[in-house]
Amino acid sequence: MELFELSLKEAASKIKSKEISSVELTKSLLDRIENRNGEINAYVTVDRDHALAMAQSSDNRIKEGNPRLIEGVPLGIKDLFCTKGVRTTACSHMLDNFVPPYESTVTSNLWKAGGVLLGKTNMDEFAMGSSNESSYFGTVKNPWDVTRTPGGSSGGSAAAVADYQCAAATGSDTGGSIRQPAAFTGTVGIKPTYGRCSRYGMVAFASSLDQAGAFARNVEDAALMLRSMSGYDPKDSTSADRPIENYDEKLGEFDIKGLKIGLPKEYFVEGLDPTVKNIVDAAVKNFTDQGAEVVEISLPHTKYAVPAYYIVAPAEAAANLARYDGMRYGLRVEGDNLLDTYMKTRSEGFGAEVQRRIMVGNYTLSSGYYDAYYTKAQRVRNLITQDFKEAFEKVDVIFTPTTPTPAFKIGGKIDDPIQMYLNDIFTVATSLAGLPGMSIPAGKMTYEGANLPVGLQMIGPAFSEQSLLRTAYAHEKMTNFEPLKV
Amino acid sequence: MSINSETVNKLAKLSALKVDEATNAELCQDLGRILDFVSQLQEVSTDGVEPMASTVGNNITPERADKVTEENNRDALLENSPKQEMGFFVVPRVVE
Repeated sequence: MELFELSLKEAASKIKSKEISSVELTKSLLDRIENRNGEINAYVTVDRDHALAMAQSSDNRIKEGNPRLIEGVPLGIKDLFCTKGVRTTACSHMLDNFVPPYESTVTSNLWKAGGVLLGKTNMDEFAMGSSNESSYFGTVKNPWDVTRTPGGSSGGSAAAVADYQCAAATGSDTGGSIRQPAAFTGTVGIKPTYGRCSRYGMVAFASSLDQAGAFARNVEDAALMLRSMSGYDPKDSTSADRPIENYDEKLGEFDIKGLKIGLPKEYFVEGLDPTVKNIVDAAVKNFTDQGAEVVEISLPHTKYAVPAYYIVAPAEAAANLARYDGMRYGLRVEGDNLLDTYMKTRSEGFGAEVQRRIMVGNYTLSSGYYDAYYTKAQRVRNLITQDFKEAFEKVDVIFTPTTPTPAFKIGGKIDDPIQMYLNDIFTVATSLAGLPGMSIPAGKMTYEGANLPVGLQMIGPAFSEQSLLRTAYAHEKMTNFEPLKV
Repeated sequence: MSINSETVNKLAKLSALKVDEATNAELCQDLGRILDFVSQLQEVSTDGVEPMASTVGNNITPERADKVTEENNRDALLENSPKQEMGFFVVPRVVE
């Protein structure tokens, strides 16, 4: 077994016991990336010296007998978390030379827990996409089948974890950008409650929806990551001042008997692949065999989640991305005058999907349309949130498929924005309601001739990460999902 | 819903984007389809429903003291600017 195959927990424990050093592990992963990145394209920036320097300082700490929670373990960081002194691009030409003078709170928390920055992972430009095809640095390939997308927008992080190019990685989820790629790559992805992780230093897409989270190859590692990265931050006015539990501890202390699992009928509809449905049904049956109770519920406004999202998110994006004017940082393309410089800069700096969303956002925010589109979408968002509130009066957790199908082909949906948007059909409602959601591998299936993983989505009430992770852990124990082989 | 090229030009201007003729034609179609799609919301009854801008309750997001915590890092901030001179951002002429 190679060092790069170690899980986060195993690696941290071997480093702590001095069985291996952080430098050895980091070198093993850097070599793995070097061998694999040409094919998978999961990383856009790898700073070998920086990684090894951090690893060395972890090894020094170990020598001093002063290890922290994940001391010395190298992590993949989605390229929208600002990392001081290491290029951060959001995979946009607009920022392809941006070197942040400050550190995001999420990464800062990870370094305080002993994590090592292995590299920055590929993503859809400004997190706008569901297939990683909008990245300025080219699409990421799904390690299960390189003709397929790993999903998006956190496709690089998901692919890196699945392909043993790191044990765990950060992601961000605005409408499904952690859960969908987790489902497509057979990894565990958790998007916590909005406000759990600070947005400080995270390149903004849609501020009322953006939430950081984590990828790992098992639930325990995902829990360890979440514990290390989350927490209240005075620098983010939407950060929640709620205690962080030791999510990775006592994961097995969970009584399935009496657990009420909600199955929303609106999620088991036309368009859902029948084999995906069977795999989700089998996971549910594992729980009922152990004494859980299934409750059929209704989330009546589900159908409107995607259209509401594609008003709210572009509107916020149009406002957020107005800052890219080529003056203080980022790309500048000189024009004939100030306005011409703005326009040339933004047209060259942003890709097609980002420009499309900015224009949609400005349409729905413009005078005469604001109430009919933007305010209307916010009202529908309220209804969607109420749906969940009522559901959680009857059930403890909601199970759904994460996506209607397994990973689709690269190029399969890129020409049709609506088809691409509909790929988020099972994940956006959770984001609009700000609730925690996870995708956990539930099985594999043959899809268009390929052997591909299928994800089960679990949704919980606000700030229920601990019980969500315990439910996921119970599922993992009952499922025996075999991850991708090295 | 159809979006005409005049509307696309207006949106491009609002968005500070340059749109050439070929792209304009594509955008008429793409934006039209996207707006058609999101217009489904019109069929939802939202009478008496408040617009929801954020899911975070005010009681869990305390205010912090309004004081400067950053040290002077002017040089580091300027380093990312496309043009700088004597500690200032250099920008195109603003007043004609």
